[in-house]
Order: sequence, then structure tokens, then C-alpha cells
Amino acid sequence: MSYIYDKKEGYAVNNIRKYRKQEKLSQLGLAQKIGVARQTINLIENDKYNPTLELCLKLARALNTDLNSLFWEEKE
Amino acid sequence: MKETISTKIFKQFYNLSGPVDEYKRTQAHAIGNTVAIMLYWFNTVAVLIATIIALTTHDYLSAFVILASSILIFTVFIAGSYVIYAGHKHHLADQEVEAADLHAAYRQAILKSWLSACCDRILSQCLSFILTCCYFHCTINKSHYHCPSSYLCPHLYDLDGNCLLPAN
Repeated sequence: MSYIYDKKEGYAVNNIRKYRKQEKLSQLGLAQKIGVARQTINLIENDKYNPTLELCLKLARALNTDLNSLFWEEKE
Repeated sequence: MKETISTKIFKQFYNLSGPVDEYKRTQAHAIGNTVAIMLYWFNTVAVLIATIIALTTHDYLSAFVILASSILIFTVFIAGSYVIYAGHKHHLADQEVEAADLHAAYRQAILKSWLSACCDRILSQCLSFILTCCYFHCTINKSHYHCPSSYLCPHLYDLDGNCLLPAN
């Protein structure tokens, strides 16, 4: 899990790798599932590319989760 | 899915390989935006300089030549080089292949590059031919050498319009 955005109000995190491994999917498998290149998944997982909302929704659906779980963590 | 002609042109311009997904499209748009800003400022400055030259020296031909050549050089070499550099930096031309297919993919890439080089050469030759014809038309339209065959074989005449071979 990596933090891609940190603000006083809360944290935006990147849980894609964690959920992908939970679903036992490879980067290539996930990429084929949502119709992007494997490099794109790799870049998103390593916080080198911020996906659009459309792609985030596709990722959430492909990983059987929601946007909050993928990109948000409540401040403790 | 079959690619449209516009997608093919888009890929050719930004040196994209493989299917165009969101990442490649976004990066290509960002590169295009930067190039547009570069061209805007360069063209503004180039036109300003050419205007100053034209107004101060009254040498309009020189001003035009400076403007046209600088815009051509900037567009082709600097903006074009930036597109290639940025595409390389953002890995837009990267191609993923299986280890077993590496050799075949390598050969295909070489073949494609040769084909592309040949197409570019033919295109530049055609452009050169058209430019030569235009120049030829400007130089001989007042002389008696003006005939349709002259456009096909412009090298039959020298630059002063003197016929090197019989016109008929």
C-alpha cells in the first residue's frame, strides 16, 4: 500500500496491488480484464500515473471492490 | 478491434506502439499540448522578427525566407525531436512480447522500420518533385520552353531556362 496523496483531511492510498493479489490476478490478467496495457497497471501500482475516474471504476469492478477500498483510507 | 485511419495517424505521429490505451492517449495529449505551446510562442516570435526585418530593410523576400525556413526547421527538427524524446521518456513506443517471440518481434520491428524509411523516402522524393515543378513553372512560364513534358522531365532545362535538349 502506498500513499499517493496526503492531506490533513485524510489520506488517498493505492491499494490496487493488494486487491489484485487477493484476486490472484497477474498484472497482465488485470490489464486484459479492463482493456489496457500491462505497463499502465504497473505505472498505476507504482504511483507513476494517476488513472481517470473511468479507469478507477473499471479497476474497482475488476477487483470486486469499491473506490473507497482502492483509493481511500480514513484518518485515524 | 480494427483501428481507424485517425487512430493510425495518431499512433504514427506520436510513435505509439500496440493498442492505444488511456495512459498512452493521456501522455500523447500532454506531449501534443506542449508542442502546441512551443509552436505558438515560436511562431509569434518568428513573425515578429520577420516583420521587423521587412519593415526596417524593405527586403520582403529575405524576411519571408527567414520566416519560412525558421518555422520549417523548428517544426520538423525541434518539435519533431521533442515528440520522439517525450515518447521515449514516457515509454510510449515500448512493446511487450513473450520471451519466445522475442526474435520474431525483433525481426518484425526491423522490417517495419525499413518499410517506414522507404515510405518516407518516396514521400520526400515526391515532395521534392512537386517543389521542382513549381520552381520550374515559375522560371519558364514566360519562355517558349513551356510544354507539358517539361513538368515530367524538368532536368532537361537549366535554371536559366536554356534548353539542354530539343524541346520537341
